[in-house]
Amino acid sequence: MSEGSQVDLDTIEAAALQAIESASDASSLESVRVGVLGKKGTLKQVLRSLGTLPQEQRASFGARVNRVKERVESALGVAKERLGTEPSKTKRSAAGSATDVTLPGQKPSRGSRHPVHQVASRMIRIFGNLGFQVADGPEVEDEWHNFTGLNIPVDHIARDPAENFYLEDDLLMRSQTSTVQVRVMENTPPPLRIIAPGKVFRPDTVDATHSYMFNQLEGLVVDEGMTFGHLKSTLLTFFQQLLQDDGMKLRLRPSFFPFTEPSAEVDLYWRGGWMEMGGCGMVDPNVLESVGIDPERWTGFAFGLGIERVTMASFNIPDIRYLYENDVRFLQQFS
Amino acid sequence: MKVSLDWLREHVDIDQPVEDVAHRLTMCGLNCEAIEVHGDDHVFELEVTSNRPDHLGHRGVARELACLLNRPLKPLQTDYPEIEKDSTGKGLSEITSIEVDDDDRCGRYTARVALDVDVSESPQWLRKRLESIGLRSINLVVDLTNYVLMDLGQPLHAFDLDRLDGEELIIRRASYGENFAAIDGTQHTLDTDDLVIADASRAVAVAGVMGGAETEVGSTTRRILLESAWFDPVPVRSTSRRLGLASDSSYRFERRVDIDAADTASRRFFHLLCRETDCKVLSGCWEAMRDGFLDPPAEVPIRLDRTELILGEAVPAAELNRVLSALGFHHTGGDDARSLWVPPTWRADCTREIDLIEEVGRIHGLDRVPDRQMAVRVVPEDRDAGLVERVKALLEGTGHHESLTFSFGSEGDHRELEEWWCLGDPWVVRNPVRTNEGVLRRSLLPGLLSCVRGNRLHGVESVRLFEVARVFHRRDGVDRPVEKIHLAWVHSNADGSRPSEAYRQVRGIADAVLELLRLGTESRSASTWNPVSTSCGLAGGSCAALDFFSERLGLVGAAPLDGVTGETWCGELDLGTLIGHSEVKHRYREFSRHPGVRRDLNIVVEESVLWRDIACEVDAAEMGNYEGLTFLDVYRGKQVTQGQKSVTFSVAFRAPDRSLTHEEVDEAIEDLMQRLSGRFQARLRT
Repeated sequence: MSEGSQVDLDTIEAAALQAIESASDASSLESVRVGVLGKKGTLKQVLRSLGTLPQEQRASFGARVNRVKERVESALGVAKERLGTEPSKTKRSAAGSATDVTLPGQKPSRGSRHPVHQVASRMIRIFGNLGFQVADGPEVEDEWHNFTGLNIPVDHIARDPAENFYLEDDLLMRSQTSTVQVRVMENTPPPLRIIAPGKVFRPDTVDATHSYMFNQLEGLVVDEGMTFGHLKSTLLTFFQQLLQDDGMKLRLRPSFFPFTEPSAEVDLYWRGGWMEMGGCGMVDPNVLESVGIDPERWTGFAFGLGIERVTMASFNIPDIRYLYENDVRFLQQFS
Repeated sequence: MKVSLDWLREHVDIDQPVEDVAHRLTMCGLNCEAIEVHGDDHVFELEVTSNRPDHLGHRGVARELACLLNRPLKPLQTDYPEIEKDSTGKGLSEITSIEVDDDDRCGRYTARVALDVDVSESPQWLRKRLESIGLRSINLVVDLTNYVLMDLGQPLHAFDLDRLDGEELIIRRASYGENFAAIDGTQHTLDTDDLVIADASRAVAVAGVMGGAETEVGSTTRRILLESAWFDPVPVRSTSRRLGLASDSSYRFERRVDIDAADTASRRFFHLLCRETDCKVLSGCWEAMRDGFLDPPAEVPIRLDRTELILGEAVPAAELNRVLSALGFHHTGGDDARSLWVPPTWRADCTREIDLIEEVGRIHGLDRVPDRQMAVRVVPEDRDAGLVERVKALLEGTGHHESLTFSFGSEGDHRELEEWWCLGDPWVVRNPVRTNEGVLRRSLLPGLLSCVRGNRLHGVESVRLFEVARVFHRRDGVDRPVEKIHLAWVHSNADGSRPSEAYRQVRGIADAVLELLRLGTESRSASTWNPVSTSCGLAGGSCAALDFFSERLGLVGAAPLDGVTGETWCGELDLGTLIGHSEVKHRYREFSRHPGVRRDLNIVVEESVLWRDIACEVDAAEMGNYEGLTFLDVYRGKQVTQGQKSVTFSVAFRAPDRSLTHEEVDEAIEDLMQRLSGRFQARLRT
């Protein structure tokens, strides 16, 4: 008998919990309750068989029945909460007045990413899709990496102390991310396909479009058979992906930089006007030679794009200074 | 540089619409920034790159257009009548002489003399030319020097010969402290680095920069001496900079004037002078030239296949030849596959094959080169960048706004904070833009705190900012800054919450970041948060440092801001170093699915007992089935004796294989309480 009752109890509990679990409304839940705990319920019937047990087993069997009963009751309670048939404490306290469901939600506080970093991340992602790996270099450079290695002669105006932030000796804040080109080429043999985003520093007078620190994204490809056509196609694909706008046009306008030749300005036509987005060109053979790469075998191209320029164009920000004030009312617009 | 379309027509026939001309110039490297209408003329505002001084004159721009439009460049008239001797029978060599004392800085100096000059007003055509490009007419002689300057890019200077002291001009270094009164009315004190043109008693011009007021040509002038020279670019630039004296001449000399233009320009001037007024030009020319100055430039080869390789498009040999010839290069040999060219004297920038390829590409049109796709290449994943990205996402997700501040800092503000991070001296910026940005920052917090302050003072009541950026430390034996990537965050609220809560919130960010980075086991046990006893620039008594062996990797605490109400708390981590110790490896670990037991304990201890000590003691008890410890609250107040505090925490137990009963943990809890009271005199709060 005790064996059989044990099996019965387990079966009853399992069946009851299963039924409670699968109950989809209040009435089916109620019928489970009546079927198990009611006057004619299965548990009551088991209890009625108590009298048939030997005296010494009655107490422990009774306790087991009670435990099953407790567990079923608690499962019923949970299920009622789930189905909303049991008013919860808070709801009970609001009894009589329904919740005003037109109240605004309580939002968790959300932060934001700086628009310049958002744009930089997108640029990195798009160039990543084009096979460019991110490289890094120091913000404080020496004259070799900032000038000499980039084919900028000793008497060049770009080296003028007034045009740079010099520290001690020949150290200065890098005036362009092209420095990373030199560092990568010194340490890694071609083929190379890298980008280097980061801060650059030039003591310009601050106005709506100039800051003495800004962010640039440098790109460098060195490989066999690289041509100006590859440069053009890479930049075009990048801007198409970035702006997602068929009305956009790109123009490479001949210009001059000591570290590229031929050199060009990257002009972007977008939303009705031309904007200068940066510079580009084929890596000057002197630059390749200075890091021991044979320019007869390897050719390459490089570009430097102003991240703030792209950011301001993308988000319609009229003044570059807004980007560095870090006013929460500005920043949260880009969350 | 302002360029008049009409003026260009003196050199090349142009019948294209103005906009087309501007576009062609722009797309060959002479960016046209604006077109002004000037009567029946149009004036282009052209942006001339520093490598093309030949574009600083109309003829140079016209040469470019002639090549683009495939039209001939018209010849330049430079002839004029000469006389051998003046009325007293003196020739040029008897009237004047030139001595170059410093031919390091003066490559070439020429002088011609005209007599019986009638310095009148300029004719209409000349005034129009000069006015169209924004120059004021002064008198015929001065205007013609300016005209030739703006036409050929060669600066000229006319002296009133009768106002010179003596007949000899000496090109020499200025003596220290020598005075000079410039034509523009300014007074200057010269240095031995400055090159001057001097007569017997004084400097009458600063070489390549400006002439002197005392010898300038005026209405009474009858005899002029015309200087046409070549000065070295670098000294002209430094003198011009130092004196704060710049001119159209210095602008051109700084960029390197055509070495062979001096004589042509001088003769062009006298051609025009004789055309416009009666005067007598003495035959001959005083000329001083450095040895080898006019040696022809070396031949440069260009290969057709290399041109195609760089541009990505084949350019026919005939087109290549046409372009280079039209730009003034002389074909000297070779064949179509590899031809040899001598660059013109005005193109000092062209010395290599790539320079010639650029010329071909530029004229042909870089923008017309067909697109070429690169082969696919896979980028390996960057673990560290991924971690930085996740840390930023964590900060963003917890309500912080990312900031972008400058790498500079100030030596005075927050000195203790900066020094806590790095005792070495800050790296000093020689010429800061702002006085409070004279050094490179050693900590991100001062910059971020100043942004917080700005926000709060602008009425933003609750501010949470963060930044990931570099700081610059000085380390013994390293001769450049050690750049470290730091993370900093700041919470500031107008209504102060309980300090312990604010502390826990700001500290919680550090804990969450450390949890995310999952330091290796050794690194984790070596890194501990300790109260900061030394001064760190934050409010004393409530800041903690993350110590890692002997390194400092983190700091959290309160940063009271002057004039800002409420509370401001902040934290900073050496994120780069922490990432170096990160060992993120997600592996499934078996966990118990059986119910556990949780006990809340509320104990009263002395104020001096730290939570960390309690936690260590709980860990050390090595209780069976012990799962973990959670801090709940600290209470100080009426119900607790002063100098004591009540700490509430919960201890969790769970067995791997079965449900635990309350009875099973009773004994462990009792033992734990005995342990805590033995160690800290802790008692259960009743």
